[in-house]
Amino acid sequence: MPAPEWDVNFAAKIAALADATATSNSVNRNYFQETTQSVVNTVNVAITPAFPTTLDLTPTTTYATATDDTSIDTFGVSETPIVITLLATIEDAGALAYYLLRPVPAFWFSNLDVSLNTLSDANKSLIANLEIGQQIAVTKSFPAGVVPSVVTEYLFVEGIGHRITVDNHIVTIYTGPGNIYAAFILNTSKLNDSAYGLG
Amino acid sequence: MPSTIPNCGTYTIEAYATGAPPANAFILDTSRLNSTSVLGGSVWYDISQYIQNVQIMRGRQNPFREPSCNPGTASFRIYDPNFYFSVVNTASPYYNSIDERLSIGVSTPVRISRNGEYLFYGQITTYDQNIQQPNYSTVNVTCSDTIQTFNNIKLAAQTTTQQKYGARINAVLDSAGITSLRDIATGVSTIGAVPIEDGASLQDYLLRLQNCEYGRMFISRSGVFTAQARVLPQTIAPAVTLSDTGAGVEYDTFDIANS
Repeated sequence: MPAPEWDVNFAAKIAALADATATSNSVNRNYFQETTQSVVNTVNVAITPAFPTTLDLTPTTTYATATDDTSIDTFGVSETPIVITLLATIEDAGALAYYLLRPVPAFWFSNLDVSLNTLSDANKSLIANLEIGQQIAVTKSFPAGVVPSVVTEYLFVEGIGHRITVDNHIVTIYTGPGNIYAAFILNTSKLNDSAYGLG
Repeated sequence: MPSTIPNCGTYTIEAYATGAPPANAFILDTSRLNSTSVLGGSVWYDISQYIQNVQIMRGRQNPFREPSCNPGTASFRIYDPNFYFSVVNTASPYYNSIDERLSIGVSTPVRISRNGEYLFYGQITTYDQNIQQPNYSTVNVTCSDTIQTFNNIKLAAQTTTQQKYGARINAVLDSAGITSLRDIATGVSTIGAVPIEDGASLQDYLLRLQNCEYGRMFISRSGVFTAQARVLPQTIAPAVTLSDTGAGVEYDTFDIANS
């Protein structure tokens, strides 16, 4: 899959918005609303607007747009509204817009229930003491006929639940996908393979 | 007294209250100076023996569906045959005769631990007592972590300078008088010099900062306010491998999540 394209033609992306004078605690703030859209291939991020002056009562808002043309060709345009942030520079806005692209639907293993009472003491502590932001690996095997027969995903812990009763403690691990790669090893790792990186 | 769950561990649920007398009260002619005995004030009471069915949730279930910076929550049920946790029992060991009320209730700090490692650190948000037949009490308690209180903290008007994400968070927490422990990443994004208006909600402002970085904000299991940077590509280094092949920690069930 080709890398998403970041549209750097900022000069063409200037607009006057109704809440251009929004300050940090404006009631009319703009957030990126978490969406049920599985694909987001056009993201607009505005930097913090200038304050209005007597010479310019309605200052314009500058924003960056990141697009993924391959995704647009496949799924059509799925675009976020322009979101006004507190970011300082258009480069920051562009980097965030690029980061928020979701060119294809993502699927991953999550909601993993682990019962402590079947684990070794060391593993009990390992699971009970997991923290948000830590990286975990999840391996799932499938019956014959499924290819591949074993899938391992590297994921981040996004949430942790505990259900503690008189006879069990079940830890639920909620995960999120991330860009995680194996270290590139000379004479071993393949070139042009996104699974390996130099760090 | 901590409660032991067979094959799981030893659990302690504590409430920071002002009942009297605490187990480690300083007693004249008996207690030693420079010991752990206290003269008064709040102490951590171990109420584990009365607790049933603890549930904890921190963080989010899906990073594409929920924002970060939501308060963590905990809930549990107190089985109270002696009415120690009743709001009408002036003979309760948790009754504060100075304030003339039960010292465990809404806003009481709570911490939950397993084998000495914290799982949750927060405070009571609802305290719902029920009288059951034939004649005992239960109390349903819900708790939230510190993020819940940020919504009630208003910032004073102030100017800002252009700062990295982490520096701005520290500056805002300082200006709000938040002295609790922090673990703040530097962050990727640079925040502009936008003045903060008088009366801005601390939680609202933190959400706007989070919106610039898109990392994670949460209270750690030991009560530390944590702000993590945007997740950048990183090498494989899992803290644990969960597996159904026998090659890692066994899990029971899982779902396929989607963006």
